[in-house]
Amino acid sequence: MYGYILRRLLLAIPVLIGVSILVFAIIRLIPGDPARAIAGVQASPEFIEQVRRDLLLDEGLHVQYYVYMTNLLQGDLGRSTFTRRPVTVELLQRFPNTITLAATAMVIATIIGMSAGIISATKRYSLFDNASMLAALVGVAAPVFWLGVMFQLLFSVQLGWLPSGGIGTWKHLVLPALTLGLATAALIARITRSSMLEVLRQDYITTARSKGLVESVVTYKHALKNAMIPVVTVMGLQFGTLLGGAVLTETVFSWPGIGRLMVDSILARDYPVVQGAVLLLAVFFVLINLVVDIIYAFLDPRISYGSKKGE
Amino acid sequence: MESPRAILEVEGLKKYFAIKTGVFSRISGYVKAVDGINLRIFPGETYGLVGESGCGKSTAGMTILKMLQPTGGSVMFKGKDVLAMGKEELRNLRKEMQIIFQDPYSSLNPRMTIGEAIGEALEVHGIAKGKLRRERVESILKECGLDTYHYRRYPHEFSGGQRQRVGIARALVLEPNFIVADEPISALDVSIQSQIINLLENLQEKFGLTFLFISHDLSVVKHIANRVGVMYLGRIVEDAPKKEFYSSPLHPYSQALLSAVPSMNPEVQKKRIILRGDVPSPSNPPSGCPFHTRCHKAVAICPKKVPAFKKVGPDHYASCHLVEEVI
Repeated sequence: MYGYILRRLLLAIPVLIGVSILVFAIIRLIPGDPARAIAGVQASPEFIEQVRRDLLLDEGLHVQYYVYMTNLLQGDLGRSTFTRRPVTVELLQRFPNTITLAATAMVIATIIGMSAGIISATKRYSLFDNASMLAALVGVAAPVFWLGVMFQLLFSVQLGWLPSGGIGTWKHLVLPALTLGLATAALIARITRSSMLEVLRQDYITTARSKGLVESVVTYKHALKNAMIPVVTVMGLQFGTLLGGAVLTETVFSWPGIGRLMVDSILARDYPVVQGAVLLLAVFFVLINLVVDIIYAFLDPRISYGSKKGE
Repeated sequence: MESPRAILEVEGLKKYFAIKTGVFSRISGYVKAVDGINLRIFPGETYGLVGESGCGKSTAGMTILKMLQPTGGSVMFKGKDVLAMGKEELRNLRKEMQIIFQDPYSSLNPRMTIGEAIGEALEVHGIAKGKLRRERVESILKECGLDTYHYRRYPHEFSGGQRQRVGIARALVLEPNFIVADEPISALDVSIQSQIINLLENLQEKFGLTFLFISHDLSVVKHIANRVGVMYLGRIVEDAPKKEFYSSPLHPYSQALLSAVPSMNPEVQKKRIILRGDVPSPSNPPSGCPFHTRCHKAVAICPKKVPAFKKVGPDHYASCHLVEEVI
């Protein structure tokens, strides 16, 4: 198992190098001159030239990348060209907010999605099943920014129950987490349902019933555990998507997380911050996928990463 | 033949599946998977239920065990009406009636060790827990030709034949009297099939089991069964003691099936009766005798009238217009 984890971590290195190159290249394709953006509209051409030299922007891309990577390997992500503060500080300040948001959204999504999926599968073609699958379809299709604005309109403007943005109490967390989580809840509900239906068709479910087990034991002990693998896969992938989806949700709800930082930085041509933020999300994504693969081994005895048994 | 008391008596058992079509799931028809079958099985006997794929044999087995809710008819087990039983009574009945499935791969929960899978039933019925449970499971594993160390293994660590042994052990651990064996050897290699058949026979003798043995393999049924019932489109068309069935089958369908069994002796040239066409759809069965569309002996009356299931010899029943009823 430990050998497997180590191997996976080593494999993550080329992935992350690839990500860094891609981000590095793409952000430089965006039209706009960072030197001018930093120096201000009224700056003299000499000053802009000065800023450009300071930021190494007059050098070739490969030189810029080389310097960036050299610093990165020393733990230095550079400084924000905008606030002049170290990128690491900027990121670490915002990252916990994003994680809180994404994790809460995930919890909401899991609770809603799995319960809906299980009930739908056990009461197939019932009113509940049809209604929840229709809701799931809408949930998957509705764009996050639209859903967010609708929630703000209803719960903040009309009913006045919850704040429409910002951060502070748990009340501030409800709407953004709900907005972010609903699409994932819909997806989890659909996957749980189809995976459960697949498992419920198996003979071992009939076997379990023939043992004289009550239906709830059959559903949870025998069916659900076997139906979990695709659900966990989707949850893992979705957690990454949630971090990305946070970009929109955070912007709609003025939530001071990585997502909003990225949007602001892109608008300000703040290259180092954008690079750092994307790289951080990529690292997180890779780690989550590793965790999912490790969870598989606990969920299914047929999956084993050790070399103990010698395949 | 009425002298010994039958352990299982099935009368007019029906299982229809609704066909739903359209947005509003309107019921547009029924698949008559089991359409009024009668069975009588005596203690210690093996009843072989044979027929082509899709004729309703497995559905019949599941419905008898009330794993499926029947549409009509009655099932009496040891004189008690199975279909009228409440949940609690039914759960207790599970101790006495068990099932062995065809596919040893899908019939075992992949996440449970063999010990858990077999022992679970003991705990549910409050028969044995902990160490006692383990002893009981290990002893039944040994009975079924497995080893005690298999207790901690998962199903994927076993071969098909071993898995089927586990499936049999699982069914037997509650010490039932009656077992529905639903094509228990069809998914296995031929070399393993005979081992499992022998195991079933030994266990039957040792524990006094009664089997409803569902199969499409007439040679296997000939080996293991005392009595044979032939199913066609949800109905039993012939029901006879084994010897009589194999020596003088009366229903044209039985005759055709038996003519298709390969002979061990290549010198013997058998005249094969080739059935025309496919099995008709059970959602729209032919009029009259359901077999008339494929029957090589069909006459004018066959498409018009459903033949009665009548006594055609001592302890021999068939539904065919061409066979005389005997009283």
